[in-house]
Amino acid sequence: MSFDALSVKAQFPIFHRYPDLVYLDSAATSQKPASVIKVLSDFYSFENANIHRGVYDLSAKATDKYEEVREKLAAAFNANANDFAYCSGTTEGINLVVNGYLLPHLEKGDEVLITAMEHHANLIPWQQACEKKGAKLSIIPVKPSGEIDMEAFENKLSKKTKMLAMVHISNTLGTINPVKILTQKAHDLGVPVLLDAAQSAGHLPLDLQDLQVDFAVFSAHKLFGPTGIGALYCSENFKDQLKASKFGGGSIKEVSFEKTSWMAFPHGLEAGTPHIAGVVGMGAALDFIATLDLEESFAHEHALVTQLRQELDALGGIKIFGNPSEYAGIVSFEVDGVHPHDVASFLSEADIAVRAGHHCTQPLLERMQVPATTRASFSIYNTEKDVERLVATLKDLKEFWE
Amino acid sequence: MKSLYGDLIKQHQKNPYHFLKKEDVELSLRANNPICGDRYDLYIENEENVLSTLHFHGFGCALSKASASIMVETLEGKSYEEAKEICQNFLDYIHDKTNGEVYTEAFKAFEALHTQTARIDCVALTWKEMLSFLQTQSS
Repeated sequence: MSFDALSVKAQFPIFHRYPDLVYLDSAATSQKPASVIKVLSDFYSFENANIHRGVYDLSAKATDKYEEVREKLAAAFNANANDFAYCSGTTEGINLVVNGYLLPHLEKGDEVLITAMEHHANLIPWQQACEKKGAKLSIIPVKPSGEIDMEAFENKLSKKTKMLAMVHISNTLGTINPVKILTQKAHDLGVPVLLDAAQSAGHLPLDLQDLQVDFAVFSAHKLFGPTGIGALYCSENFKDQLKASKFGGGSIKEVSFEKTSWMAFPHGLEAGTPHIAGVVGMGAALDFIATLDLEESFAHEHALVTQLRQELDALGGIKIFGNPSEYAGIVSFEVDGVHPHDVASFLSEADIAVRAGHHCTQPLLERMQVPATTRASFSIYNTEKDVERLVATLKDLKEFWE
Repeated sequence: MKSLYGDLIKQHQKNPYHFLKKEDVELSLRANNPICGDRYDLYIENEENVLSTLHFHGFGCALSKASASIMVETLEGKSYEEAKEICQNFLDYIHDKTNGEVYTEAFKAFEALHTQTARIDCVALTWKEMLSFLQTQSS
């Protein structure tokens, strides 16, 4: 494999500060490369000004930098620059679509279709909208393998469906969903599709033109960028139908005491002073990703998680949740007789960072009849040594608890 | 290392004190952590403002279970007033606010929380529930 994880890892200051850290919680948030941190620091140090309408030089430059990042998003995800609105992250992006597109179109008796493996962020906003309008939230079941039940999906999809919302990569199971196939079938019935790309953007080549989804959302902090910023992609067909649901300055064409008219997508959705430095930092993260070959880096993460899945199996007394045929660098497991929080604490004492809990997918865990799991998730800076350390410490843990 | 899981905690986790579902007991409290799903019921048999017999049952991590077990063992037979002070001492101790003063040496099993604060909620769960019950009982 030509991917050089160690030279990638060297670009992340946190591993210089904590050389023994085995960071296996990138699905929660990725670490940040020096280049991103420097751009953030430089922006606040030397380039800071509010954007739009500032006539002076600093403001004009800040505006250019802010707007330029749309071009970087377009290049990274194969779309057009004006297809992307900035938002605080995946959660806000979904809320913008629910409030700005779905609610005005949703009526009593309609349905919204999601999968059983959605993160709470891609469940609760739809659930609340359905409750408000007397519509039904319909759930595509997940098979024990951790894959979507395609037969059930086809049965549940109908002309009553007003939206199909699904996660690209499950943050709990690691499953990669067949987005293109589901989208095609939804579109055959005229159903729009929203993709939660929080775990896929930056991890694998994400081609929005190829997937043909209508909306897509992700957070910068999971792709080496700052927290509090992300993007909402909206395809050309839906831009006029996606109304502003957050109101304030910066997003309007004309205001009187009687009425307001809004700017077109994306600016109409970006009311208030946005997270300018965050957007610029997201641009730096996209520049960083552009230096990677995502096919190679994905293969690296996939190889590590495959190794871990095999070694956990071999260890015995460990249950892995789901064994999908297509998976990314995320795996959830349970150690017999040891609560996930105790597993995570024990690992923490050995400098290994994993996550324990329901991973904001409580209904999924309920279906798997487990209150919580331990989750290890990989990124480009992980190495085989990390897997070895995790497995060796789990061995110690099993002995300790026997 | 392994400082969070000393012998006393392992003992209580494996053989918890009065770990029994006592559905016939009228007074019970539910200690619930929605973030992690830990959930215990505390069964209180009382006589004239004394916690005469205590049981607990439920599920959660080793730390929450051991801590609940130590609480039940420590508070049994204590008056409401005494129990309130003991709960307060325990909660203050795990937050490192008592200069190391403890009602009973058993509390020192949780000393690691002074530097590893991530698990304080697990350990405090049943104690906080008990304390807030006792506070509603004060004369």
